[in-house]
Formats: sequence, C-alpha cells, structure tokens
Amino acid sequence: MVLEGIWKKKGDRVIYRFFIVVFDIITFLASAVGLIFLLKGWKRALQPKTKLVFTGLLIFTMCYSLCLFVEWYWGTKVLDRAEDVIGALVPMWWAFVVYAFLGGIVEQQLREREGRFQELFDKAPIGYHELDTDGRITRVNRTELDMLGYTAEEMLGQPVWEFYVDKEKSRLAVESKLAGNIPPGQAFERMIRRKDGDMLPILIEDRFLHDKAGNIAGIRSTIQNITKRKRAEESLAQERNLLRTLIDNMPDNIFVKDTQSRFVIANIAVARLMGTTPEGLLGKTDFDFYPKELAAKYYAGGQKVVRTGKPLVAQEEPAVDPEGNRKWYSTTKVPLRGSSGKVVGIIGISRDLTTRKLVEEDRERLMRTLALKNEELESILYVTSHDLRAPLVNIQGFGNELSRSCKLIHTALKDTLKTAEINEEVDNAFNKDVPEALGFILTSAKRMDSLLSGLLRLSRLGQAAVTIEPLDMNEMFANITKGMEYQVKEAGAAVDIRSLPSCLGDASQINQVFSNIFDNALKYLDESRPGMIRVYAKSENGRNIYCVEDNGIGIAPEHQKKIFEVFHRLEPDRKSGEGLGLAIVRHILGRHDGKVLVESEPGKGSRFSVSLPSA
Amino acid sequence: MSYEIFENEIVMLSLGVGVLIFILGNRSRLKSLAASKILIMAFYVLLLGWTVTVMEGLFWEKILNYIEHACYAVSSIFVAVWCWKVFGKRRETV
Repeated sequence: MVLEGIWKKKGDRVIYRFFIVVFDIITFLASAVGLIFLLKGWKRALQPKTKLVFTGLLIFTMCYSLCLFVEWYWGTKVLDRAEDVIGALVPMWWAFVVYAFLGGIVEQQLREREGRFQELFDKAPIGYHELDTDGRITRVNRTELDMLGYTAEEMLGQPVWEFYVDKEKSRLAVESKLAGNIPPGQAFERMIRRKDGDMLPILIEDRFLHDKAGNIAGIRSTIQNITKRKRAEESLAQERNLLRTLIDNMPDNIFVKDTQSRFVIANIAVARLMGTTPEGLLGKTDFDFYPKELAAKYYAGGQKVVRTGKPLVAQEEPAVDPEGNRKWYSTTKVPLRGSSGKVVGIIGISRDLTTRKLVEEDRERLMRTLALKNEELESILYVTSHDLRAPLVNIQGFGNELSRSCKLIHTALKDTLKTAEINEEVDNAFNKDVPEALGFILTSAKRMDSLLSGLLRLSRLGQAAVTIEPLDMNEMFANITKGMEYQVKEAGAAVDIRSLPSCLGDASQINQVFSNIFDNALKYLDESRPGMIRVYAKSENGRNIYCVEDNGIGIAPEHQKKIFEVFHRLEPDRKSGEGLGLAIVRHILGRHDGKVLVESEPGKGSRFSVSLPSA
Repeated sequence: MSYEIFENEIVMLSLGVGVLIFILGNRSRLKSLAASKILIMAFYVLLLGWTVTVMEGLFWEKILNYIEHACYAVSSIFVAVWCWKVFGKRRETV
C-alpha cells in the first residue's frame, strides 16, 4: 500500500521519494523499538524523571518522522506546521535529555559520595566522636561503638568523661580544652572503660569545632585502641630490662659503639674499668679515658670493623684500670648492622685475661727454672755416676788384691804359727772373717757399680737426641722376641703377637721401652703355670695403644704406682735387676708424647698399655 | 539557481548547536553515563542531519535531503541501540 502510494506519482521524483520515505520509516521504527526497550526495562536504570524526558524525546522523534513521512508519501503540506513545531522541539528535547542525564549523574554522584563518606565515618579504622561545648557526645562512629561495646543511644548525649577510667582528670582535661587552655592537636593516652567493664588503653587526638563566628563549638576526637602497642611496649621494656640486667651482671665487659666509636651502651663492668658509670660513658670515646696511644689502638680496631664489616675475634688487648694497674683483655668486636644492612656501629665483648696472663707468666718462669734445674740435675747425675765409678773400680780392684794378699799371708803364717790357739784364731780370721768382710765389700761395690751404671744410662737417655720417624712395630717386636728367644725358651712361655699398627718415635728408644716391658713380662711369669705373653694394639683418636699382657704373678695395688720409680723392684731377693727398667720406660715415653699405664691383679697377671702417636 | 532556506531549519540547527556546546561542556560528566558514546554519537549524527537540511537550501538539494533523512534514521538506530544496552540488558547502575 505504501509502495502503491509512491508509484502513483510520475517522473524522476518517484525513486527519490521512495528512499526518503524508507529512511523516515526506519527513523520511526527505530524510535519505536527504543521506546519499547525503555518501557520494558523501566525499573532497571536511570531516575524516573530522566526516563520520562527520554520517553518524550523518543515520542517527538517518532512524531517528527511521521510528519516527514506524510509530507513525502502524499506530497502534502497538511502537517507542515506540526513538522516545524516538532522539528524545533526535538533539539530542545535533546537539551532536556542531556540536562536530565547530568542532573541524574550529579545526584548519583552525591549519593555515592554521601554513602562513601558515611561508610568512611562508620567503618574508619579509628574511633571518632564529636563533643558539644558541654563535653557531651553529639556524634560517634560505628568503630568507636564497636570498640567500646555501647550502642549509639547509650553514648549520645553523655558527657565523654563518663566513659573514662579517671573521670575527674578527663573532665578537667575536656573542660580545659573547651576553655581554650590546652591547645588542640595534642595526643593523649587514656584508659577507657568498655561496657563489659574491661579497660582499654586508647590514644586520643582532637581538634576544635568552630561555629561561623569562629568560636569554639565543640571538639572532634579520634581514638585508637593501643592495646597491642602497649603490650609491645611493655614486652620491649621487659626485654630491655632483662637485657640490661643480663649485661650489667656479666663479668665480661660489654659495650656498643657507634661508627665514630662513641659509647652507645656499656655495662657496669666497662664503666667500672673506666672509673665511671654506664650513663657517664654514653657519647664518650676511649680518648676520654685512656692514654692517647692505647685509645688510638682501640679506635683503630673499632674502625676496622666498621670499615670492613668483618668481626675481630678474641684479640688480646692491654688496658689500664683507674688505679693504673696493667690489665689484659680478650676482646671480640662484631659489626652492628642497621635494617638496611649497613654497619651502624660495633658490639664488643671483652674478657679479663689478667689472672690467666699472670699465671701463664708464672708458669713460663717456673718452666724455665725447672728446665734449668733439670739440666743441672742431669749434669750432676752424669758427673756423679761417671766420677763415682772411678774410686769404685779402685775399691773393687784393691779389694780383690787384698783378698789375694790375705790368702798368701794365710799360707805363709801356717808354717810359722805353731800354737794351736793362735793358729786357730789366725785361721778363723783368714778363713772366715776376712773373706766374709771382703765378700761384703766386693758385693756392695758390685751393687754400687750396677746402680751407677743404671744411673749413667738414665742420665745419658736424658741427653740423647730423639729422632722421630715412623716405626714398623711388627718388625720391632719380631726383633725383640728374636733377641730374647733364649729367655723365652728358658721360661717355657708362649708368645702371641698380633698385627700392630705403625707409630711415631725414636727407633732405638721405643725399642728400649718395649724390650724392658717384654723383659719384665718374662721375668715375672708365674712358675706354677705355663707362661703366656700376648701383644696387641688398638687405635683411637690418632694414637695407638700397644698392650703387653702376661699371666704372671701380677702386681699388688700398693706397688702399681711405685713400679715406675727409680730403683723400685718387686722381688729384689729373687729376681735380678736394677729397678730402672720401668723408670727408663716412663722417661723415654715422656720425651715421645707417650704414656704408659699398668693394670694388674696379683696371681692373675699384668697388662702394660703404651700410648704413642699414630704414624 | 534559487536559494530556499527555511526558518524552522535554522531554528533546529541553532538549538542543536546549543545542545552540542552543552554536551561538550559536560563531556567528562556524561562519560559516567552507561554507553554514553552511542547516545552522543546519535546526537552528532542528528546534528549532521540538521546541518545538511540547512545546506540543502543552498546546493545539492536532492543529495543533501537524502543525507538528512538518512541521518535521522541512523541517529534513531543509535538511540534504539542505546536503549537496548541500557534497558534491555541487566544492569544495576548507570
């Protein structure tokens, strides 16, 4: 029908009008569709007045497009006036639409801002209240209500000091503020009472509220719950107190210095050393207390730690106490780093070494004296044992000579002495008394010679050089047993030598040690049972322990400590020897960083354990 | 060649320009409106239509008249799309 209307007209205008009519229909339909969406979703968006204005715009657009359609479809000017009016209304209505939108937007923004402000007010992380000029609460936020446990009705209109623990003090403070006696902006700590009776430490900060004339109209205050902070402060104070007590009661000197070597912390020991108090040291340096050279030395040490960031450990440093006594300290200085890792000072701990130093000096002096005395003794021993042998040889020689001479005199007198009595007396003297006396003299001289030989050997051992080298102990024991093969057979003993590890020592002297021990083991076997000698070793802590174990007569406990003494013998009447074997063992081991230990049970046997460094 | 400019078209264009200035002055605020670009585009196209309807009285009458009506149609389509986006879709706020 529409197309028929268009095609009724003649000429070029037909197609031209067709497209214009189509555009107008599209305009109409699009506006109609927009209107349908708007009406269907009326509740979804925008304010009602904005939607009404926009509805008007759509209707005007539809009407305008309808007017245009009528004009171009029928070619009539019937609606010309209406088209002019509506055509003018469309842009105007666009202005209304934009205005309405802006109004809606502004209103929306205001609402949002108000909402945000209210949310900020109520959900701020700190409590907030406002007071009038009487100190009564006029406004309070949700955070403060939650913090104190009251409802808004319970707080509003109440004097603020009613909620504090110290009401009178708080009242005076609020009144002074309102009177302008206390400047605003200061923070106060107070204890406030919650509704459930608990007390809460809070921090209050306030500002004045002013009226239009600039007069004080009230106070606005923020309050913060500082329970955690208070606990942390108490904990910190406790820790500080603990630390202070600890460092003040430490006998060692403990101090902290800044990068300029000024004392920041010092304990009582440091203060006592420097003749002042811990507080008197703060901010001062060693130059204020010590001679310049000594202070410079301390300063250099501290600065080295600051510069390098590396600790100085157990540095022995001299010091002088207030009485001028020289002292020694072992000082450790470590860098103190800040949170950024940069060195901000040093921590020092020093220990008084004076007593130890004095003891060490005394010991060194005694050791020197002892070494000197030892040398003297060894010299005396050598000289004595060596020089005494010469007259002893004379005694022995001339004793023998005297014995022979007596025999000759006795033979000669037999012929000249006729009387039986005289002959008997002389006979007794020459046959019994004189040989007996000479026998004692010669036996004693022989014994003395033996003792002097032993002493000479002992003194030579002290002077002999020690050449430390790895020793094949298996080979050494093989040689020792081979050398004593006759004695072993004579004693009828069985010898069991296990594999032995090598050790360090002087070959001849260590050989002497084990020869003496092995010889003793053979010598003191029990004749009532077959002899058995076992040699074995074990290694522990870098040392070898060689054990020579026998099933001999054993050693009584009271003798076990004495057997290493010079000239001590277990059975002097039955067994030969000088009583020097074990003394020599101990002497040699003393020069080899070695030790000897005896374990024994009388009637069962003995075990000698010799400890020597492993090879 | 005769020139034919109608009063009502001048009035529409003048009012449209006034609205344009108003829109440009509040451009930043209007941006907070949902799908504001579509709606503003609709107005710009409409303003183009009002402009060409004045110009068609001076030259290219037929072509500019086509453009005028096409602009009205396109502008209406933009408005319809905006209505669909704002009211047809589920939205809580604008």
